[in-house]
Parts: sequence; structure tokens; C-alpha cells
Amino acid sequence: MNQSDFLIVVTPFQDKVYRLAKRLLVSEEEAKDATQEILLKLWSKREQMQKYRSTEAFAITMTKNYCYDKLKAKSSNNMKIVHNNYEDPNYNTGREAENNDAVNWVFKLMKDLPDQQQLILQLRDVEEYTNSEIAEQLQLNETAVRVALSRARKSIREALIKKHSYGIK
Amino acid sequence: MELNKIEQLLDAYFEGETTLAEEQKLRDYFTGDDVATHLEPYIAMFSAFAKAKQEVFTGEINLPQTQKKRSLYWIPIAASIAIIIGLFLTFNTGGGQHDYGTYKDPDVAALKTKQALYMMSSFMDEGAEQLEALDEFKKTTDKYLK
Repeated sequence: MNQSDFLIVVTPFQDKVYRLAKRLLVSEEEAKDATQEILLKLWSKREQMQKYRSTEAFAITMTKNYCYDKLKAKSSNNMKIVHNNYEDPNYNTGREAENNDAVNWVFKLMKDLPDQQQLILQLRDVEEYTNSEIAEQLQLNETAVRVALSRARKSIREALIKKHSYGIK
Repeated sequence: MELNKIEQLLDAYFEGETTLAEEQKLRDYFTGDDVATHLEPYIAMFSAFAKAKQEVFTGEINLPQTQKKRSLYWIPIAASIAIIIGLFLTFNTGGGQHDYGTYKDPDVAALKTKQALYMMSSFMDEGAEQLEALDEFKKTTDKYLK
């Protein structure tokens, strides 16, 4: 497998890897590093890649493990995640622009979820993987995925309704 | 879509029991223009997912060059070929016509061997002459120690 073949395999999901890393690590720089790191690892394992049922699922699993390691290292170093800038300068069209604050607030709510719920919510509601795909990627069973998903969605709903009933927007 | 259908979907959604297609319907509804007032709190949630999906990886992917690895692979092979050729050239010159200085005629060979042995024995005799001095020593000791 040469570089261009590899890039063809990797391109469809490299954005997903990046978004997932960004969801967990928050900072754009760290997410970029993570993506680069994961693609490098995949590249070094490209000969074995055919063995895996799905390279994409394998990449997602690697991303999860990589981010968990990073987060663990961070908390043991007593570092605080201070990067909370969710602004995307390219995204400023129409109606969503008005809701930008509310949307950013949802991202913050997502950040406050337990790591596993963040992952599952990201994989299901953003990347639109099926529960069985998520179960494979995260090495869980499908019921656990469904339960965690429901919990994650409900905690966001709770926060949203609370905020709405205060009349703050 | 009818409002009560959306409400049903929404309930199922929070239980984690919707399909991906149904979730797409919800996203379409909530990012659309007419959302019922009492459902407005959910707009942010579904817009957030839609927005998150639009982010792309902008970094560069730097893969290590494969060329280097390939050339390293050939170095030991090239080296061993060079060594084999070197050894072949060193030991194969002359093609077995080595001259060790042997005599072809057995008589000449016998003569030369004799000459060599004589020469050796004459050297040994020369060495033995020196030992005669020891007899002198023995005579003297015999004279005093009877």
C-alpha cells in the first residue's frame, strides 16, 4: 500500500477522527496533533490494516484510546482545560448565527458530560454511526451504548429546559 | 411534519430508541424555520449537532517517506553481493595453477631432500662441538671429587 492508496482509505474518516478528538480534548491544536498521531499510527500499521473488519472503526477506537490517555495525563499533571473557544469563523450563516450563543452553550454542556457519554453522543448524533458500530468502536455492548446515549441526551435536555424556564437566552 | 409526530419522536429520542433516519427528521425539523414555541429549547441542541458535523480537519498529514525504508532494505543485499564478488576475485585468480616450488622428478626431489637433511645435520654437529667443553669440566670435577 503506498501513500496515495492510504490517503484514499483515510480521507473519508479523518474529519471524524478530528471532530472526536476535538470533542474530548477541546483544543483545536491538540485535536490536530491527535489526528496526525492517529493517522501516523495507522500508516505504520497499514500492512495489518486489511485484517481489520473496518479501518474506520479501528481508527475511532484508536482515537478514543489516544484521547483517554491524553486526558489522563492532563489530570495527573493537574492541568486545567482552559480552552473554551468554540467559535468557528467560517460558520456564520442565516438563522444559526442568531443561535450561536445557545449552540456554544450546548457544546459546553456536552463537555461537562462524562467522557464516555461525550464520545457516544458525538458518534451517534454528530457522526451518525449506528449503535452497533459504536459498540464495536468502543468495545461495549449495544445496550450500554443505548443507555449511555439516553443519559447523555437527557442531561442536555434537563439543562436546556432549566435554562429556558429561567427565560435566559 | 405533524407536531405530535415530532413530540413522539422526541420522546423516543431521549430514550435512545430512535433510528438514525428518525433522528435525521428531528434534526431537519429543529434546524428548519417553523419550530413550535414550546419545542424551542431543543433548537440549540440539534443545531449544535449540525454545526459540529461541519468542522473539518485542516491540518497537514505528514507521512514518513517510504523511499528511505526501501533503500535501507537493499543495503545489506548489495553489501553481501559485493563481498561475494570480492572473495571470488581474490581466490579465483590463476585458476588452480599454484606454484608451490615442488620438484617434478622424484630423483631430483630425493637429492634435494638429502641435501637439506645434510645441511641440517651439519648444523646440529656444529652445535654438538660446543658441548665438548662440558667434558673438560667433568674431568676437573673427577680429579677433585673421587
